[in-house]
Formats: sequence, C-alpha cells, structure tokens
Amino acid sequence: MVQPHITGAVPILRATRIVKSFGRTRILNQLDVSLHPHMITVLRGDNGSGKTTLLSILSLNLTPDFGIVEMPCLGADQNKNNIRSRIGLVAHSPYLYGKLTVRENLRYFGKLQGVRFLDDVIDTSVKSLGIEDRLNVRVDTLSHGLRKRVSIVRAVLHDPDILLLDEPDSGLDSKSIGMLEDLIDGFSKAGKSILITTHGNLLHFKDEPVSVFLQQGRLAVTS
Amino acid sequence: MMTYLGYVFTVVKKDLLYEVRSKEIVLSILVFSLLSIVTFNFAFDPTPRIIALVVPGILWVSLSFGAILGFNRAFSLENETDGFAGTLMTPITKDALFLAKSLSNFIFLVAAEIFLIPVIIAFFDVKIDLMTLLCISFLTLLGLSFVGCVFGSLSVNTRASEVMLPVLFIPVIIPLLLGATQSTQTMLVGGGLQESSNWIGLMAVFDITYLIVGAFCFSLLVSE
Repeated sequence: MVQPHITGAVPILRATRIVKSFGRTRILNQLDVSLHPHMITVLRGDNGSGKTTLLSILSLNLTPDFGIVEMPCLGADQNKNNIRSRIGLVAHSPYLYGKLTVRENLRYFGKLQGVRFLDDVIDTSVKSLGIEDRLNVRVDTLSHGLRKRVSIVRAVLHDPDILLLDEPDSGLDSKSIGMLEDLIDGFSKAGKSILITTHGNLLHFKDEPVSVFLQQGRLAVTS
Repeated sequence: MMTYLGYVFTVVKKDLLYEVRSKEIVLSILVFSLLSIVTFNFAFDPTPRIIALVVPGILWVSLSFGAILGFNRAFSLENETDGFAGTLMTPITKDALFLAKSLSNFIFLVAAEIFLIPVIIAFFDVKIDLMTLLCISFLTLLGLSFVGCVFGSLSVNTRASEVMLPVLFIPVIIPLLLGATQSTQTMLVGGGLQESSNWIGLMAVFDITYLIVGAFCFSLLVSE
C-alpha cells in the first residue's frame, strides 16, 4: 500500500511504523506518515478505522505499541514537551473548563503554552473565528458549535507548526466553516502542516489537499 | 518559555478560580467534616478528662474523611470537563502538574480547616496554641494533599472511584494521622512543638517522601 511520504523533503512531523492495538484488534498496522510544510492532508476512513487514534498518537496523547513520532527539525532533542508545544489539536472534546469564561480558558491554555503578548493574540485569534463577543461568556453556556470554535482558537493560540483537526466541521455552520477554511489556508501559506479527519466534503481549500484513506490500519493516498 | 513555578502558579490560579465558581470541593470537605464532628460530639461525652484524648482524633479523622470526598470531587471535575486532557497537551511537566494539583488541594483543605477549628473550640471547649496548630496543620494537610493527589488521579479512572480512593488513601495516611493526633494531643495538654518533635519529624519525613514518590507515580498515572 502506498504511504503518504514525500521523498526528498524534510517533514515537520514524522511517524514511523506505528502499531496500535486495542485488545486483540489491531487499529494501526505498521503505519508511516509524514507531515510536510505547506501541506493540507485530509484523512478519511470508515468509523472505527483509527483516525482519532492516529491523531492521538501524532499529538503524543497516546503511546503507540510500536513505532516512533518525531520532529526532524528538533534534531536529537526529541523531548515530548518540546514536540507538544509545536502541535495544536482540535479533538471531539473541546478540552475546555466549562465554569471558566472563554477568555479565562484561553488565558490559561495560552499561558501554559508560553504564548507571548497573550491578550493581543487572544483578541486576534477570536476575531478570526467570530467569537470576539463571547470572550466573557462561560464555556458551559455556549452551544456545541461555539465551543468547537473556542476549541479551535485554543489549538492555534501558540502558533503551532502542526495543526491536527479531528472532524472540525462537525457542529459548525456554513459561516464558521468559511472562517475555518480561511484559517487553515492561512496556516498552510505560513508553512505549517495541517491534518484533518473528516467524513464529509464540507471543507474546501485554496490549495489542493492531499487526500488519504485509512483502511485496515494503513494509509493510502487517493489524490 | 515559562518557568517551573510559572506553570505551577498558572494551574493553581485556575483551580482556585474554578473552585470560586463551583464551590464543590471545599463544600464537600467542609460539610462532611462538620457532620462527622457533630456526630462525634453526640457519640462521646465530652468530659474535660477525655477531651484531650479524643478531640485530636475527631479533628484529623473528620478532616481526612472530608478530604477524601474533596479529592474525589477535584479529579472527577477535571475528568468531566475534559480540561485536564487539554492541560496534558500543553508542555507542562507532569511533576509541575502534580505539585500544582497538590497545592490547590492543600489550599482547599486549609480553607475547610479554618471553618472547622472554631467549631471544635465551641463544641469541646479546648484551648489551642495557634502557632503549634499552624505547624501541625501545615504538615498534615500537605501530606494529605500529596497522597490524595496520587490516589485521586489513580481512582478517578476506575469504575468505583468513590470506594477505591478511601481504600487506597486511608492505609497510607496512618503514619501522618498518628503524628497529627499525637502532636495535637500534646498541644492540648499544654505542650509545644518541642515535646512532640519526634511526631513532627515523622510528618515532615512523610511529606518529603510523598512529594518525591507522589510526583513520580503521578507522572506515570497521567501519562495517557
């Protein structure tokens, strides 16, 4: 099976021979993946094919049974915290504190990510997703779609090199999807790499994305 | 890059803000400890002769049992909101997170104790040397927080966390409870820290041990 490698170019993130099983079910089987600058990768696959597992492994939230995840640009210093600080993850769960306001959540995660000029960065980021009027609203009072938007802002606050998005279009209206597309295009233009899992065809980008399919634990490039 | 203490301070500040909004942890500790003290007050006949013997036990056992509820609530809240998973995705080191969560829980326990001490004085009419009690409380509550933080993070992902936490927590804190009750007893009969230096030393060693062991175990427990 063809693996989505672009030979010759240095990837931002590389995962090699990833194996992950849950019980007796092998979800990922000797999977290789490289994420390159200016690359938008759309990952598709059936339910339970391992898309979320792959994203969890790439974001170092889950340890594979076998294989390594590395950032070649870091050289010998493959410290997990160093890698984490260069990755932004939007998962199914928003990873926010419900009883804190949007601003308090963003300030908390921004500080932990070591973001400089945090308040300015927050103000700019929330504008890009149209939630600037919700900054002082508690997260547990927001709708699913708005929480998703806050979650996306949380993931991009520290200007990561890699953006991993797990079905980011779910729960978003057409206006929000347009903002998300602009944000992703901007990230790609800035030399970052984006990996998106999706079931639908709602997202459209200026640059043609690499489309890959996850099946039987391996990746196949479809376009 | 943020400093180690910067990470700790950020998490503690968030925990305190969250608690100010929810009031779930301190209230859990306080209500349970208060009910225990009231129950003990009816169960024992508080004659002056036995007060010095039973009051230290009543105070520390009530507070320890209340603390179990508090730790359980603290980690359940983190799990319910998923914010903890978000925190783990940041570059914060696990030992900094352990220290931060322990300090937050320590502050919650101190807040509960501030309300409990006047109740103990009112119910049992005991004379307390504030400086001595401060020292004993500091070591006891710090030790409880370190142990609670480790077992709280362990039990929260188990099916019966309400049962699992006390089963793991109580046997481990026995040396700490022993030190706390013995030194409080010495204080109530007019002694100072000098007279209970052995027990204070035991508690200090307990705290240092669980700061180191706890940080290590916590790092392993929350790594996935």
